[in-house]
Amino acid sequence: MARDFRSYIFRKTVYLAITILLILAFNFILFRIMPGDPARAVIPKGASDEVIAMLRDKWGLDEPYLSQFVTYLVNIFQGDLGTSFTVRVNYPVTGIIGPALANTLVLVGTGTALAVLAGVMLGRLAAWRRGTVTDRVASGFFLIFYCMPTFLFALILLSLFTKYIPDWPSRGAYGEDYRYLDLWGKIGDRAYHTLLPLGALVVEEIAAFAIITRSALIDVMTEEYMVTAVAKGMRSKDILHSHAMPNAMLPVVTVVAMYVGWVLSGSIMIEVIFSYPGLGKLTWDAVWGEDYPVLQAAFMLETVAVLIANYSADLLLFKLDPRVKI
Amino acid sequence: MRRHRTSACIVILTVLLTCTVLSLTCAAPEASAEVTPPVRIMQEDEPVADAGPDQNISQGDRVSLNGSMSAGFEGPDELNYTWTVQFPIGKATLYGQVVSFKVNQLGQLDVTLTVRDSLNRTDTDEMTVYVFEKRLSFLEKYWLILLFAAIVGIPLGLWLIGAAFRVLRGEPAIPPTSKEKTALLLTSVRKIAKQYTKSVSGMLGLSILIIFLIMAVFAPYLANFEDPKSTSWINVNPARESPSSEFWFGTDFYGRDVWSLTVWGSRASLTVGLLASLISIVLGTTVGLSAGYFGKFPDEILMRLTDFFLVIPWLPLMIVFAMVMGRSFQNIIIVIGITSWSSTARIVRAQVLSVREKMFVQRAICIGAGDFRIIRRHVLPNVVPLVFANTILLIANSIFSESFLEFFNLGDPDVISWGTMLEESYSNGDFNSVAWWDYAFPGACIVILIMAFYLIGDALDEILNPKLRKR
Repeated sequence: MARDFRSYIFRKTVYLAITILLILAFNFILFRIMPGDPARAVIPKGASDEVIAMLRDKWGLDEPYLSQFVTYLVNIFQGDLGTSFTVRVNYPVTGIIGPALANTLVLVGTGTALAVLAGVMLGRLAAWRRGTVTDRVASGFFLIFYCMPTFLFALILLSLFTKYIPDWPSRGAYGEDYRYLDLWGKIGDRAYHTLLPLGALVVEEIAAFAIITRSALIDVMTEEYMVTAVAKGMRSKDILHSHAMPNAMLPVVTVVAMYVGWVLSGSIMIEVIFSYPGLGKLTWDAVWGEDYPVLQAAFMLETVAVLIANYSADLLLFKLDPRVKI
Repeated sequence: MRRHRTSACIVILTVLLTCTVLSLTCAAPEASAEVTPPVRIMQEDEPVADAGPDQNISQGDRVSLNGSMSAGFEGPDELNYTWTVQFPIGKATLYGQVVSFKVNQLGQLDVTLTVRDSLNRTDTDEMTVYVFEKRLSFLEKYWLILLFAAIVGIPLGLWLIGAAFRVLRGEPAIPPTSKEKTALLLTSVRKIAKQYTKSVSGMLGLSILIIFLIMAVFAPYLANFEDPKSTSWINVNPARESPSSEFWFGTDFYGRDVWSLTVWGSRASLTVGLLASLISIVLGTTVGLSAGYFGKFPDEILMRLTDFFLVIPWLPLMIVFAMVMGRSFQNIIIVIGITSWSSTARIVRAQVLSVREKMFVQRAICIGAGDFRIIRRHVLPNVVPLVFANTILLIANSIFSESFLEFFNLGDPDVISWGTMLEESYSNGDFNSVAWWDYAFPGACIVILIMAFYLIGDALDEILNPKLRKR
């Protein structure tokens, strides 16, 4: 098969489009089979049958599902995600999602970047000193944090902080007097508040990335070319940098992309526990408030974000690894 | 003149106003006297307790005690309500106008309601709750046992039928080929077991798992109380007692023994772990096999579906599914099962693709073997070892997801699991108090059990899918 970058991109893009369409359809169907009539949820109690019929007609609930789906797609591409039922009554969903998305991006983006950096470094350290005490202790710690549910770790962290440092902010993304601060004050306040959830997220993800890096590097170290490098008389530091790491990074890139979904899930737990006003907390509030438009939009955003992360990882992998099959 | 007229107006107005106010104030008590029927509120200052009529409920249902018919000088809302419930094993005291709890024990509960008003005058009333046996349908009662019996029984039954046919045809019941195969299987199992016992971490994981299995199987003998679903043990023990020789793991906010809860919780976790991964293994293997074997169009469609489930963030999907399907123990298992099959499908498909090109499959096609036979006899046996190591990791993930769903209140609130214990501990504020034992033990159990499965999975993976790591 010819190794053609353009056809590869084309294929991947078509797959991406199909999957996104599948997700939109899934999203559409799922919220139609949810318990409860959407009309019933918004229509005020005691409305006459005529009013209900008029509203159903206005929202297009009487039309066949296919034409409803087309309307749904058109609305989404026009940036209209409907209005919220209960989280903020009759407020457009885009206005609610926007700030939440920004908050989550700060948390998840910083968290993932830090966790990848630290995790790869720690995993490399453990793999390079395989079998020593350092490796044993480090691997033990990685395993414990990898197996510990994120919400449990977040809770323990929260309870420790509220017990020993009661002044430390444990809720929200900013303090009460946030709006009166100047720019640097705002940034500082946000950083101060984000530190605890960020710490919980990073520690949990470091473990996963370190385990992946360690096992990938150990796999690479058994390859023939490593022996050749030693036989050539290369220094072990050079072997690590120029031979082992570039090859070990390939599976790491794939798994990191797959992990974006995992990180997002972990961030939901952390946002709920620390009351951090992000996308996860919003999903949570929407679930309990039965706010279907908000839930639908949040779910769609989370899924599409993961999809796009995977898509970019595929493209990156194609550039990195000449052996990738088309 | 004008001044006179003004003052006259003021006088008239004042008189009118006073009349209106007077009529209103006079009318108000009349109206309220008409609305509230019991006369004793007006006449007696003493509080009157009314626990309501006797109740008949069936086993496992929720008893709701309602004292709002009680009366007092300030009305029913201002009274202090104390319910004393005599359980077969002890007395429980509950506070509140309306209280409810579950009863699982047969027999009768003597309930005494004591109301106390702000002047410290009290009155008591008694009632009885009769608990009748609940008629569970056979399926409801034994679904778990039936399921496991089916998993073992159906293949065994099929084999027995086959053996019977062979005997009828005059062949030996156990054909020599299958004898040989069994011997081969035994040797390979023995070999794997020998390799496995060499791995320290694998043995550690296995021994932890065995301890938890013993805990789950012998839960009724290890725990101090019988029924995990019962919350009627509230306040039987002192609440938040620290670990001692009597309560090994202390007691929780409701006075329940944490050790017993932890022991019962292992049942829920292991059941969910095993059944959910069974669902996902069956789904994943079927999808992976048919995609890999049939190729082309089915492959494309199934793989897009797999990609979709693989890529979708599992947590929101799980939340949404749990919302749609409702809160019950069986639904948790199904939800975890249908959200976690995709990685298995991928692994199976990749293996099937490589097996399909092997010579023996090509030969089988040449002989004219059907698709089903080739899959069953040639492809599946080569896929099983891969799936097996993957299953162990899936169980770990399922336990993880279960504890999460239970913690975030999406599970069955009546089934005691470690996640539910953590949730109760969290909502009762133990994380900010000294009661560390209430969350430390279930939390540690989750971590240790998941770790045991990871260790076993890792050790098996190294044996079944060797990667020459020994250099």
